Amino acid sequence: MKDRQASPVLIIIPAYNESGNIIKTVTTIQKETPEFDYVVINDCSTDQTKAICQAQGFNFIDLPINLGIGGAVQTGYRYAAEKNYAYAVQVDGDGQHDPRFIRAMLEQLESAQVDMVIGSRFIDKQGFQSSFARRVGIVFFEHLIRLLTGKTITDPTSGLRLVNRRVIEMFARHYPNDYPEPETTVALLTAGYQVAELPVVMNEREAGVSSITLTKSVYYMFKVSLAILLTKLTGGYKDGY
Amino acid sequence: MATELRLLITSMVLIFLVYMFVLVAQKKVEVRSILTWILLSFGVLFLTLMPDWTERMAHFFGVVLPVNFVFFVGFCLLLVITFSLTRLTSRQNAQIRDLTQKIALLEKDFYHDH
Repeated sequence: MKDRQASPVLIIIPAYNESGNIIKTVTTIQKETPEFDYVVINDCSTDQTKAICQAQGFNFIDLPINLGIGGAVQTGYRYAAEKNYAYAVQVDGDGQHDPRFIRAMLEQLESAQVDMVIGSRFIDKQGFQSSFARRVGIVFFEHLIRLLTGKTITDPTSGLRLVNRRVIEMFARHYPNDYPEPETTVALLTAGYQVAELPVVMNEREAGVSSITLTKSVYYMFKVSLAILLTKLTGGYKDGY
Repeated sequence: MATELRLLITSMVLIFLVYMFVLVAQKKVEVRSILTWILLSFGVLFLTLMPDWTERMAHFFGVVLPVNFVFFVGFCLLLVITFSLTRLTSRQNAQIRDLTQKIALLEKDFYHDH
């Protein structure tokens, strides 16, 4: 008999070298959404992230080698699947996402009967809007996704995403290694899953450095576009995948 | 380049592209892994299908026969791919070593029998 969870939602917090932000991120969640369980996925950080989590008594999973954002988040989905959570939501370890939106996202997921709700910065255009270069990329993917699926996703790279049990199990089995958000969104849409967006406000990263450089950006655009095309052509997260 | 040769190279590249596509569809290979092979395929395809351009590029570098230039470019891209595989296996070796050591240390703590 698997463990039954009192909290319907698991908050998945991927963290790589977030010693500057992790305390604030987790304590905000503990304060604002105490009814939801969380787990920090320490992606083999080389700084004090693990020591801080231990000292603070945070619930965390410690990856023995670095897997990147895809592998780290997938670990969270596997944990959610094993522990029988009904819903899972990703919240970045750097404090950019505000957990207070989770309740609204959950409400929308249940009332609109969709499989995933994405917190989008670009519906109301409030709060941190990201750099110009990244917005160009985001608009490009918005158009590509609309072309391939007919669905308008205004914030395809948003890491603030809430999913239901069906999607948890899909993600636990298959999840891309890097830049997973646009690809998984198309994979879900292609297979007939329903996706909705909710306007949210995000904060600017407070401490530390983002891991994106120019070479990585070019690689990112190329790889994700190709992955999206191939995903669309091969059926995405269809049954039996 | 002789038309027959260009046709042969084009069909081989297209078959290869279809094969890679099928592998991705069957989830037997990840998109990320075959990116460079797709680049290689399109590179060779471009050179084969644009004979005037290929001829100019070949002569510019002092290559007499354009077909040799196509093979040279293909060869260089192959070297890039195989070297990147060397880097990958080197990284994976380090990861396996790391995991092995962590498991060994964990087992020692866990089993209390050695």
